[in-house]
Amino acid sequence: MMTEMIKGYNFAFIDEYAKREIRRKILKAVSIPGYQVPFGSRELAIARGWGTGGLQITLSLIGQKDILKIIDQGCDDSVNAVNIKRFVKTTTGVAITTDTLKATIIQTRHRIPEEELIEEQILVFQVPYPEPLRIVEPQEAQTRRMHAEMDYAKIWVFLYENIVKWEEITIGARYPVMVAGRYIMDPSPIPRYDVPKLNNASTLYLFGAGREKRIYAVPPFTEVKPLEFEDHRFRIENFEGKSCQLCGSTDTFLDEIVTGDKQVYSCSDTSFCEKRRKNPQTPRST
Amino acid sequence: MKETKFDIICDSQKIFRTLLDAFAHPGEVVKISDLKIVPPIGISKASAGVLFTLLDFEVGFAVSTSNKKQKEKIEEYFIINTGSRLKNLESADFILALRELPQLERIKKGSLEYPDQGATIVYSVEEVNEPRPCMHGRGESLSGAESVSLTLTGPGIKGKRNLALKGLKKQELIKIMEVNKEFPLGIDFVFTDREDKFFALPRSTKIVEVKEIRPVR
Repeated sequence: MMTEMIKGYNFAFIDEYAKREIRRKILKAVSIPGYQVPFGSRELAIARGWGTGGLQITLSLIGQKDILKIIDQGCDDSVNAVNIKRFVKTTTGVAITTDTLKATIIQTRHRIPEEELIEEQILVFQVPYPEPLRIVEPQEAQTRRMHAEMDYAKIWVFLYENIVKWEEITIGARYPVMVAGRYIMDPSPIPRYDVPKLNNASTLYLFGAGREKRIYAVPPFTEVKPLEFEDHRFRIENFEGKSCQLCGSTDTFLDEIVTGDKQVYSCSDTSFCEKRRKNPQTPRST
Repeated sequence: MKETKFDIICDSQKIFRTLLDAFAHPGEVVKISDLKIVPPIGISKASAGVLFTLLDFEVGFAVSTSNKKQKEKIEEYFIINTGSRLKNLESADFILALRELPQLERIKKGSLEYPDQGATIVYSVEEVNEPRPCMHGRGESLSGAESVSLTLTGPGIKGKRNLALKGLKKQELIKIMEVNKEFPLGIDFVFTDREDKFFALPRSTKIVEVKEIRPVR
């Protein structure tokens, strides 16, 4: 069972008191969708700002039978993902996968996988800035009061001024959303392309900000709406005329790669891209 | 009294995942199995397991029951096994209610700034069930006295969900609806039964209908 694990540390590294506190906070977060629950973020073997919030949630959830997938901007093999994967593997001994459909827990930095997630899975987001109102209000005491009173006028004015000035809302990633008609929430720096996937999903979404010490959640089948105006609708990134250089997909979120004077594109979700190369019919979530 | 066969790491983790599943899908009946603990008379393994998973010295708990002798035994059991502090109803973070709803107006509902400080009640009733479709509204599965059927909606529920509870009065559910009216303030509930089944009723869930089920003779 725990044979391969490093000695001298608890299962899943953090101590049971820490896990218990995080677990209590997760349950409150799920009970109040979109509300940021403060928690005592612990020291970890990686620096704050490198996914410690998501990691602490993952470590509090994980059991020996779990199958874990970790992605960084859709990629299974980038530095942040690989380091966290190795860390969880050494401290728990759980199975690791790159296949979205096989994982029970997926920890992600800034992407929601292309394939449709199911009810049994949990998606854990790493969050750098949990406060969606921070762009309009620097003080924590004030933003807390604004959430309490549902006083969201400032952010609406910000979006309006954006449109007046640029004829477009200039927020790319971290697009603010309204959760269950009550709280405005920062969906973490996922691209706009992923925002509609938060709405009425089958999967539980948990968000952890380690440096900022906040946990929040979107339960399954919960209404999540991007902020938009009647005459200026929310829209996602436009990839018209572009396709993945590896699998040829035209319906996925693409990364732009500049090589010399040439621009090429490839799927941001590497695991999905690989599947599409084997079977071009592989369905993505809609 | 001291439980030696509760695996703090593995059992807690398993129970927590079941609990999280229950909170993410309000009204869905889940079950805890294989727990090797022997709680005092009056509380189920499910109630004890849930509290073992969530209680420690950082939080306070209270036991609400009219049976004074039983109350002291149960309190002692949780103090010994979790290290949690005994509090009165007004300041407890977790309340174990046995067969009777405590006075909800005395219990913490959090503040608008910090709604997460509202309490969690683990309420032990006789039986919780998801009625089969053919029994909807009639609840033949629950024989005997005082049963209610519920219809729930809200975050975590696809459309609506139906449930049947035994050992609970309609009036009590109306009180719960009342106390959670001022969302995000409120109290989160876990209903456990004698067969170690349970379901969660977080404050975000709306009870849209409560019906009394007449006992089948």
